Amino acid sequence: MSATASRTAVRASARRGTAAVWLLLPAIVLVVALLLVPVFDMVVISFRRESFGQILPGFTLENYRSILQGAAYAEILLKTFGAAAVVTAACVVLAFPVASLIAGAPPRLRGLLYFLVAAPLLVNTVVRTYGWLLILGRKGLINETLSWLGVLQEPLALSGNYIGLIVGGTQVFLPFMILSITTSLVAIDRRLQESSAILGAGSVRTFLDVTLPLAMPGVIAGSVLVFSLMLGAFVTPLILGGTAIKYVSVAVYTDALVLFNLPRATALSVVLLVAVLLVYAIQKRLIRRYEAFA
Amino acid sequence: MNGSRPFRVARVLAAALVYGFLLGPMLVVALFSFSDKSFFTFPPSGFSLRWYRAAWESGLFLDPAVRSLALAALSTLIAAAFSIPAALALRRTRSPRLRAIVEFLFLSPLIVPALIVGIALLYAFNRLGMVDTFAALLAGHTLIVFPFVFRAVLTSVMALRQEWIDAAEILGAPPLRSFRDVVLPALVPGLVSGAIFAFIVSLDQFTVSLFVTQSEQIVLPVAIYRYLYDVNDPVVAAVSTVLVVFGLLVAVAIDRFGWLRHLGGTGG
Repeated sequence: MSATASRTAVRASARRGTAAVWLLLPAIVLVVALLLVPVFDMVVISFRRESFGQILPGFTLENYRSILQGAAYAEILLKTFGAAAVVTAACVVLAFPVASLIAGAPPRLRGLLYFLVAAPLLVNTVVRTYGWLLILGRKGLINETLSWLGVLQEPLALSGNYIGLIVGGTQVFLPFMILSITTSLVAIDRRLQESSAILGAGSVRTFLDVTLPLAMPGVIAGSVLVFSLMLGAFVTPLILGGTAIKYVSVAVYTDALVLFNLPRATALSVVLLVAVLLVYAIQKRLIRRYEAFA
Repeated sequence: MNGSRPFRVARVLAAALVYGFLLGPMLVVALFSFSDKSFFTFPPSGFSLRWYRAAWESGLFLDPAVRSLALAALSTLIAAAFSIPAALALRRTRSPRLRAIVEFLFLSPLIVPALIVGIALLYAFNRLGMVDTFAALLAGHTLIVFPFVFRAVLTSVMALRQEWIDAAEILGAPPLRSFRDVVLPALVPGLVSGAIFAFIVSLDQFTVSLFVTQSEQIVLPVAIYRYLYDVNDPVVAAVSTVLVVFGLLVAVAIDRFGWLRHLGGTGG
């Protein structure tokens, strides 16, 4: 190639490079201006003091100290992580029968079974959560039915507490777990399970020793998704747990919009954000290790 | 997948219970909306459409519903307009490292909880005096739905065949013509499926909308929550039933095209 030709090629590729920047620019501005900069500002004010709703200049660690050392916030964090873990575990347990049914079903039926799992995802979350309020409320389906049967004198407290939160959260996020585990189960070579049966293993043994280990990537991916979604969940805790409940998202909401203590609300948000990012980072490692192992 | 008979029977029973758990709440909402009493009774009694009429006549839901639909349509359109050039540019990027960084940046609104987006935007819009404006809602929703459209468009863009574009160029088509007649038609499936999910995600979005609005610019899920908080009679059930039916109709429609499978990675 002559020098001129190569110079023209270089210039053309440089022009392509500038064109690419212009094409990317609107999307980059969108994410930077509406996510990165606001989140950065949020981190900045989490190190500020406030007084009567006013944010004062100057640097302080007070907000983080009150969150990480105070007993009240320790309880909020502990209960939030606990509830997210319980919801994740409940999703894994409930997802398996459905996922294995879908994976083993003939194609026509599989489509329908899959549809019934995915369709609730298209229904508004506030509406789905409201359904649980009708079922679990003081005068809800369960309490009314039980008192009609004469079993109950006093209504059971099933909502406005962690029971409602966990039941509602499990239902809202269960489809993600089912879809994730189904994907893993469909990929399993059936001959492995047949060999296990031929070698004399019972159904339970085959499930525990063959199916479950092979389904682990789906379980891990689904668990990470559900756990992190539940950590940040707001609709279900607000409606089924109520504002009296100890939950990070509800505490952030109360601090920010009811008590107007933005620095503390943002400090708590930063703790939540770090937790969610850590969960994703751990997942990346887990998946990598699993792929190296398998 | 087979196993012994009792094992299979147990599995089918367990799966049926889980399906009941998933779908039951929506059924209860629909049944309650036709009740003729304002409270829950067991066994259910009566049938009436009065709550649907009351919902309509209250005038509390129509404006928010129209606003929610406009918001979903506009934010999806803007996200699509930003996604197409960005995805095409990423396709031409030679450095895989740069591509991974930009892709991560564009998908990051999926990772950050809506609550944090909400509080960060509340603070930002507050300083700009934009709280409780449609522009604030539109900005927040566009950010939230962007990754859904971008991801779907990027998949279509990566499947583009360079030969088609080269052929158009060799045949003398100017870049804009080749974009319109070759590139754009190939992107339609990704664009449509991404747009449908973006639309649904925007309609569903409660948290960000709650944080950036006060009373003027209420969207439908927030209107439902407020009514639930203040009054809580079957009017909420009537409005909710309309949304359940809408969601299921959309599900049937996209199932026809086999797009329901893309739902696995949705979140928030």
